[in-house]
Amino acid sequence: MIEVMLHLRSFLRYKLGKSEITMSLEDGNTVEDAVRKFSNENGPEIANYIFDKKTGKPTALFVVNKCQVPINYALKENDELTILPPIAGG
Amino acid sequence: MPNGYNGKILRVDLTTKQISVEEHDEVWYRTYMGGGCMGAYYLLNEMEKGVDPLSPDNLLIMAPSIMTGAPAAGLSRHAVVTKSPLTHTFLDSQGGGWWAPELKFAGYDAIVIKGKSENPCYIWIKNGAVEIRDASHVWGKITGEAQEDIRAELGEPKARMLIIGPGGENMVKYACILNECKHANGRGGSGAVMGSKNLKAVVVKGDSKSLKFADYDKILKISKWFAENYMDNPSNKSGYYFGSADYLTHQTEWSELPTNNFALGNIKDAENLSGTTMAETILTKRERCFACPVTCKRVVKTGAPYNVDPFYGGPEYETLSALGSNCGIVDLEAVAKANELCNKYSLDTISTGVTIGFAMECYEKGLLAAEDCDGLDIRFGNKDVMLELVERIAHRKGRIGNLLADGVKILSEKIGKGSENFAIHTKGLEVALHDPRVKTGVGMGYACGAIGGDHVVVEHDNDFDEFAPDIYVEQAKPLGILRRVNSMSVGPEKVRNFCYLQDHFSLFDSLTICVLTFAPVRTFKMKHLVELLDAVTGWETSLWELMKLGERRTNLAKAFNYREGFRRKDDKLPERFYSALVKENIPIVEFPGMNKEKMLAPKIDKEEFDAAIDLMYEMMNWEEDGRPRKARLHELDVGWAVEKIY
Repeated sequence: MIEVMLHLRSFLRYKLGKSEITMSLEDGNTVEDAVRKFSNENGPEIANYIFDKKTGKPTALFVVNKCQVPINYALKENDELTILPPIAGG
Repeated sequence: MPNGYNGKILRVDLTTKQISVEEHDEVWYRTYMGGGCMGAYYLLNEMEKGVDPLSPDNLLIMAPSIMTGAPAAGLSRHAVVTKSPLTHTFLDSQGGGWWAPELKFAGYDAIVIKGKSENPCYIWIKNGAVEIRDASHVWGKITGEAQEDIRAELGEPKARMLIIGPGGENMVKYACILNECKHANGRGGSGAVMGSKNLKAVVVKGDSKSLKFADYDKILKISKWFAENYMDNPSNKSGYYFGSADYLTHQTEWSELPTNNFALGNIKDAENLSGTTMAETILTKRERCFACPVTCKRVVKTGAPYNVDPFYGGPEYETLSALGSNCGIVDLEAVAKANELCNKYSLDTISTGVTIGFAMECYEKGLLAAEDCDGLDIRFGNKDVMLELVERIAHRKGRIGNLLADGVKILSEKIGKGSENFAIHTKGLEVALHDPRVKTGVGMGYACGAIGGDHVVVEHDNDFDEFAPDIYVEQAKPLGILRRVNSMSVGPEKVRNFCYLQDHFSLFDSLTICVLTFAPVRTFKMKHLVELLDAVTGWETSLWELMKLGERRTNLAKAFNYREGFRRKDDKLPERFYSALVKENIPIVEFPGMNKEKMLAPKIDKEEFDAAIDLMYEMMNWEEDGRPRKARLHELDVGWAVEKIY
């Protein structure tokens, strides 16, 4: 088992009312494993924020230890994960 | 009666007080359609080379498009086209809100203004009738007070107006134009051009039933589809809640937030400025533009000490970074106050913030003489001084107010001493708050865009990179963008994408449609754009025809700039962007394909970047010095422009 810190920013912080949670994951779990587990535990509104509700594909961006990573990135003990929406400025 | 447009262009000469109406045939409307392309037609056709932008000879064109006023998302906008007093280039400054549909309902497709009124005036248009009225009693007033005085005087509480405040009247070179005191034609100083003409406002009131559409039911059907689906778009999932301010959280997360005049990529407690914090603290309302459900506009209110007035809306991402992190400030209420002041005085928040940030760096480096600072301690992080500088800029008060009112380029030329190397502008336009070292396509837009350092020249690189959602990449395919390209690439694939996206955004600016509603990234797909245009006009158009419209505007703007003396050598970035962005000392992860060096310390290789621009010129079929080829102009059905530049 590994422990990963999930930082809640943007919509997730706004909806869940907290800035971070600690997640326990299996060894070798990827970012996708972590965010699917997180969304399953927090209901459809959160799931629809992270995934396309028609295709089930991720529409969010994923950051580990301040670096953007692909969704198949294998998480390690004490990694810090952030989920962000793909919005551009203006 | 045509569908979607009135067939009437209003001409106003403020010197002679002459008002006339110009009519064009359907071929003309289908060639130029509106906005930036229509504005470029007038600017290149009717103005002589070398006109002083603040002289009566400069034209000021306010142009919606043939689609504006149809009841669908993203069709609320208009362009203000003129020769920029800040850059002396072509200026196409786009803004949303409520004014443009009202102009269409009042019977006109665009207004072309020239001359200069002897006394302050405003133009009043109601259902086709036009008057030039005295504005002496509102000259000098802030936008909100003047707007309400004019509405009361006309007995028209729902009249919409483009208006300037003291910033425009004092011809601050980056003064903007507001409507509803919170929607701006922000960039390039169109508000100063209004001020130079003694024109306080352009006020309109019309009848929404007067504008005819070919297939109203089809428009409503497409609109309904948008309303049912827009919240599924990845950007809109948080955009509704936090507006564009949500982008600040991204920038903070991976240390790419313009900070201290673009010297750094992050600042402690930056999250204080985020859209989330705004929603949790000072946000009182979310607002929208005409017929648009996206609701991306913010309204904020605070108590003492700033007492921010919600009448003037709330800050968006560019403002939060420009007047916040870029000035070393993370106090949300102070930045909200600066936003309110800019909207009261009609100042572009981007140029205002970037100019103040530049002055702060000069001051800290000892390059600004003490006597030029009027006793102010112009250091990064000094929020009281930042607010004082906004006041002084708007009123050109004292030496420092006057110095900063002319923008970064002129200020750096006056200061010298190497300050030019960190003067963050291109062609004189202060660069928007997206670091080009991590988005090279945006950097090409800054360097090569007709109006200078604007961030809405192309869709941003990260929307098609290896991390972007599939939906964005899929929606871009009809443009010929078939593969993901790294955000920091300057290879041929990136250059090709830049060319396609530049013309695509150029068609947006010609149809004056909102980039937050249409593909390649947003809710409406490419096919919807064509379907909507056909439903509005009754024409049978195609994406090919619309891309030609975009190319037409791109090339007319390029021709205008060429005639004004701009060449390939002027397409360059500020020197700062050719050295590495200073990020925090962040821990790094590794994964296959990652470029650790670029991720940790991104910078633009000058030689590679120049080669990319040269390649772009070849792809665009421009001569080496930037002149559009004769054949190109004929191919775009603007052969009349040949004699302007040959």
